[in-house]
Amino acid sequence: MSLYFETSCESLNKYNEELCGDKVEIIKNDRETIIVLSDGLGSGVKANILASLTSKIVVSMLKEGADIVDVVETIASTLPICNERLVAYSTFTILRMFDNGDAYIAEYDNPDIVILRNGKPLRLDKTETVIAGKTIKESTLRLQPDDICVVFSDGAVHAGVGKLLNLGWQHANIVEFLERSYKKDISAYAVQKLLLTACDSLYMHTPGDDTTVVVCKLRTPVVAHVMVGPPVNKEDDEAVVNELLRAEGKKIVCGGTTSQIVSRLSGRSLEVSLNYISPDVPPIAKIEGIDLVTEGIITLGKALEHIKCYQDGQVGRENAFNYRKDGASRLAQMLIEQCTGAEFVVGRALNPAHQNTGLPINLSLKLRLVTEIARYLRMLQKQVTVRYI
Amino acid sequence: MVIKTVPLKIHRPSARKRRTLDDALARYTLAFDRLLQRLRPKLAGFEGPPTRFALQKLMDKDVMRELNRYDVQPFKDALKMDVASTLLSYLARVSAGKTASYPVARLSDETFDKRFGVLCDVYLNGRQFHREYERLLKKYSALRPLLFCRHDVKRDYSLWYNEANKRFYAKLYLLNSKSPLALHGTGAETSALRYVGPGETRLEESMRPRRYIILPLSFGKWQERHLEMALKNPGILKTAQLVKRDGEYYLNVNMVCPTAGPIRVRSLMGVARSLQGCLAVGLHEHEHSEIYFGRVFSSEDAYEPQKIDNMFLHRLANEVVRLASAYGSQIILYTLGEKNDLLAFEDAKPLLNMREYNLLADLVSYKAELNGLPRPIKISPARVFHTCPVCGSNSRKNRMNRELFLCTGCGYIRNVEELGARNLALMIRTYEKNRIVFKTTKHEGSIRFTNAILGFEYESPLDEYAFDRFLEALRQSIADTHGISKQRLSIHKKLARLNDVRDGIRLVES
Repeated sequence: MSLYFETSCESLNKYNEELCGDKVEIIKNDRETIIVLSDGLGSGVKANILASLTSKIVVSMLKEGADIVDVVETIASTLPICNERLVAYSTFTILRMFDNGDAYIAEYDNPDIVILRNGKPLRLDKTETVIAGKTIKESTLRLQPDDICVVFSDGAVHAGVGKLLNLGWQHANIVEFLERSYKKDISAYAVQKLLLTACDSLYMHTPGDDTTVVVCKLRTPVVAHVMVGPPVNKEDDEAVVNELLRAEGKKIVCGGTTSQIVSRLSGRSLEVSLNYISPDVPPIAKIEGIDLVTEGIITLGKALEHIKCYQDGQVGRENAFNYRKDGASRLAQMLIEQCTGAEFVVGRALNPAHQNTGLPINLSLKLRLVTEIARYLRMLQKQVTVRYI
Repeated sequence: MVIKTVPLKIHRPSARKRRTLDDALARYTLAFDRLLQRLRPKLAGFEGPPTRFALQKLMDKDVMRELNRYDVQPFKDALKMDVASTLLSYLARVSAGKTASYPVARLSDETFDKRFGVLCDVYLNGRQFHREYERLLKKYSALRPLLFCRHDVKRDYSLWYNEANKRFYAKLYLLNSKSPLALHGTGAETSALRYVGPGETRLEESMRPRRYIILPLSFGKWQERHLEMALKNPGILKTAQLVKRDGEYYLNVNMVCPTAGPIRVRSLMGVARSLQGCLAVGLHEHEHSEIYFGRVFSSEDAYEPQKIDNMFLHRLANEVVRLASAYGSQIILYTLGEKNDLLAFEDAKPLLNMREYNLLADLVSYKAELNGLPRPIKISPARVFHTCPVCGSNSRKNRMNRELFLCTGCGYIRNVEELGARNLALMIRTYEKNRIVFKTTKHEGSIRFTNAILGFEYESPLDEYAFDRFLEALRQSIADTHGISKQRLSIHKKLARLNDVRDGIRLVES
């Protein structure tokens, strides 16, 4: 079974620098995912150029099938030489993962990669190879679903030096922190954000070095099957409901009429839940075998807001739906955190209450909301299909 | 209202007066014990914790008449008050699920014999036996402090003043008219005494048997200041207790202390324990505005207390109150005991131990009121040093090392003591925001809403109006505040303050 690689990366620029001296390249294709983190010598423009060149070279060459020896030799002969230190230098970490879980790791002068399995760090057998005068640490392993790979630049290890901590945050402290913070369902984004926020706090929001964190979480693909609205033809109701009930993954029903159809055709009772009160979002309901049953337009609209907020990152991602349990937050949370893709089955039956008569049907509220949700989910690297019935 | 206890020593009582005092204390103790034993079976009749009034009602005329054999007629009101207070604290402990043995003033003969037998069996070591025996004997011969429940010229107790020699005297009603110890006449030495109370009352000559004795008092400067205050404003004199300690007699007079004009509260001040100083103090206007953080008597002040005694705790409390007065702060402290603040880390321990901090909290409480500050709020210390102010994560894993808090939920970092003082200061805001949880249980077409703390239960048919009906029932319930516990009352008030009660509740399916 092929695995889904959920990735997240972010950098902190050194204080008063406009460009980051670390660079992350992530390439995904059907067969593999390659992550490269490179850290250029020094900081600012020069470091940014060195890091960008390194990561681009590594990713391009590996993608085309070159081996690590060729890659390192190319880097050594291509990077511009620093005027001050007279060396061409950029550290890097390569994490290459195949969809069956096989992984290859190559590290050059970057802090050691951390791989958490069930919340505990994996001990990697590394072999050292000298290529073009550079000692490269290589390792291979078979990754499993829910493994979390954390790659970071040396800015993370130096965080807090001379400020909150005398000797900075040692690699062992970071590993311990990751261990402590581990939760079974934690997302790649949450781990990345957590570690980077901790580094930023240790630097007291004035980073002394460029700091980058890349996190990759391996997940078994889970597709959300979302039924939104009843089909245009009533005759299709049964087929659509049966398809939903047979589907694997998460099953979601949006819309009052739609949920009544599902309840009627499946012979399972529909119970409105009073568990959560939010004045903005209608209550959810329960149908046995369906993971989430919500109201339609209002809930979808709110869910879109949450997904947008999450996708925008930076400002509101962590607040996008955390700690809220209303229908919209749960829908957004399920689509983003619990699923690797989504299949929307959108019924085109008209609900007079939601239509603006001046608009053509493809711009009706419901369809437009679903299209927008799909667009934002794709931005979050989810595989999304939308089918109209 | 702040009440201070001013101990006044009874100055060299004569042998006769000593006998009268001892006799009164012994009679009071016997009557107190008798009353407790008499009420014990009646307590089972209460379903919940009784009120003071209900307990006093149990001590009806018949019960009190039985006590006449101890000649305690002058103390009956005091006995009622004293026994009710003792039983209330005992019942509060019991209802809180704590271990508590039924109160007694002194050990009975049977109990003493039983315990002495155990002592002989268990303690073979001579020194240990002696120590335990001394303790047992002390409990056996203990005398209950004699309560006077009012300052009055013709009953209980009163203070008198001799302007000529500027001395104070106590007039204690300890006898009944039939007592063989009763005297006649007021005595020459007391004829110049003026009652410390309204008017110019003086002791009157009477040929009837005297039920009181007059005792000269000795006191220091501090006590004298308070007595002078009482001379100017006798209304501050409240109850008093006659106590015998180490062969001496003391009258502990409870006085109301004048407080400064109220200070307008502008900020919240958390006062927590500290590893680097005696106390960590954080002042906040609201969640995002820290006004001040500091440690009181820290190593940075080059102040190392040699010994943490009462005097030192008073100094600490004064410093806390000074800061709070300067910033117009509502002081917030915690109570250690049932729960700990978990500030200690590996071998680093807070400078103040639990007992010292609790004592300090008590001192701060009355000193704050004296200075016109609102009464300090005491909360549970459970989450103070481990809760992230950003994401709310509360875990021991959040403590990175002795000094740092590193949230495992969001990566927030802060000095652990700064965080503790901040959390403590703002915990009150969190309480206000927290929603009251109601459990819902569905059963055969009906839904039941329950909240154990409120003792609220409501069942409704499960239809689209179930929630509205529940809200209506809840609104009616919170409007009724008669005879409910403090905890319930605070929740009722919290919900009643809301414009829409839905904003203050959360439903959880059980």
